[in-house]
Amino acid sequence: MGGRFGPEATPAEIIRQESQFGRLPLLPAEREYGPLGAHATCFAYAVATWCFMIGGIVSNRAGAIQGAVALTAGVLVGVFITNMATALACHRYGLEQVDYCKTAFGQRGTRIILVFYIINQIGWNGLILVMFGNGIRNVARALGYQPGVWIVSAGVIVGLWLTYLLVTRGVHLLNVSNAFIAPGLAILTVAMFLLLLWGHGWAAIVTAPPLAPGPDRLLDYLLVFEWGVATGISWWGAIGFLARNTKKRRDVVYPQLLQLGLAMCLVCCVSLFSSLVARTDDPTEWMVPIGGPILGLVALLFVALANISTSAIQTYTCGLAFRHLGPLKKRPWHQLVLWTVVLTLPYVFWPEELYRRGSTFLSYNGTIYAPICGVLFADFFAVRRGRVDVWGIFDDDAAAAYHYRGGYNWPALVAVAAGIGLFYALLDPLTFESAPLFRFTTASLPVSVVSGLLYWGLMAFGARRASGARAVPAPAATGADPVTAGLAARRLLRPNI
Amino acid sequence: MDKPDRIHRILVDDLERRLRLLETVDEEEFGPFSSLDWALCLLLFVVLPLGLVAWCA
Repeated sequence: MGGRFGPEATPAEIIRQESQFGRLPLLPAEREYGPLGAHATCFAYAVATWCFMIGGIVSNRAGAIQGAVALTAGVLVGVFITNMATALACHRYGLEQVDYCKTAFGQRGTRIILVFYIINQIGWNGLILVMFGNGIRNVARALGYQPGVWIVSAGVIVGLWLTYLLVTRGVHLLNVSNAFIAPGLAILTVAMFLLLLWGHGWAAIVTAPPLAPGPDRLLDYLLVFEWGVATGISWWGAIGFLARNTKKRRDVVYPQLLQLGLAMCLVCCVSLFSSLVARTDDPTEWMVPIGGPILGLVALLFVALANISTSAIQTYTCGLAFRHLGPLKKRPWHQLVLWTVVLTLPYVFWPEELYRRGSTFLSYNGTIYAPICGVLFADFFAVRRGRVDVWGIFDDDAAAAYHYRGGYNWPALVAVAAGIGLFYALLDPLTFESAPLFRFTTASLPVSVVSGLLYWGLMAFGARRASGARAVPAPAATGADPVTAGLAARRLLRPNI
Repeated sequence: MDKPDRIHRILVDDLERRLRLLETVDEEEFGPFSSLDWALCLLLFVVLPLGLVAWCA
């Protein structure tokens, strides 16, 4: 813990830092976002450079109209699945989503979810940095040079270095840059769309065929829907931060659904249209043809800058996630950031190979997060009826509410494993081979529902034995005064902060 | 008490204070989210998108 606070840190400073950048639950009075702030922050999150990448991936399998419909619908459904339980729970108790997971998965079981989460963050980070490297290569090409793949690897290294500097020395700079990058990307998107319409016309957009369609048009369409759901579900990692900083319930739910869902899709769709017309799924390749040599180059440079900003956010949240892992809990901040950088190194050595597997990465998110979200939904609404014993989240004692058996809540882990198995049975995320049933059910949606129902059933079956399975009654419902019920005397036995 | 212990004690004391407050705070403080909100969200963000996907398939 010595590395986390300066030697002169006062108690007030320690608490301020730990509530803002650590795990202390935020009280209602400390929360920043009203309706406008929540919309603005969610918009800034949503309009990021990965939107351009997702649009490019979709252009391989679907045309403009079908791609836009399937992607938008998928993202909205995905954001709904991931948002409702996690956001409402994190908001009520001022928690990060990793802490909230402990109610369902147990103190140690949550570390398994944490590993999936870190893979997700590293994956997005690596893809964004390769996009940064591609941008540098395409700037060089626009200036008349013909560099090899090495320049992309060099770009990833430079990106990692800049990200490291930003996250370790200048998080305040990140806040400043984010204030103009999101609006800048929104303006850039609108400008690109207008140029696309002006230069090529709506008819050229809607008649452009997919870049690399499979033999089955319906399967391609459903795959795009599936990628949309996976993209929406991917927001899981950001929801805790947004929810715990927001004042009212409606300001948590609606801005997240509208901005992380709808606003994101608008940018993805412009990228999809541009990719179809320019006949390339790499966003850094269509900016010059669509925008022209000057505006295209400016757009490329701006997106490169935005990539670094997005990558820094991913690195920052990944570093915070490492704080939950025992051996890393007390390490200085720069070491946690360095771990993130080290784990991203494969993207230096195999940038093109890993970037080409972007669609597989999207499917991975669906495979892993769909069952997790199903379990969390069932846990908060069905098992606990919206009430959590928040003390149990911060207590590692064996008698605490969420210790379960050895720190693991097996029904939740079994339900997630069964969900992952079901996903593979419906759709192979590596080869995209699908079962006949996939055409009627898709994959992420039924996996979420089945995992949630299985978890609920297992918890009901083992309720008497599972120590934390009882729903905590609301004070108003029981009529009991929580203070006289012993709350004032309650203590954490083995606090895990 | 050495420095890590002091910091840990400060954090635990404040954490317990926060947990007590969060347990006792009035639900109205967090604003409403009624069954009408649920119905609206389900309709706009699940039923309509799924219907649109099926219609355009």
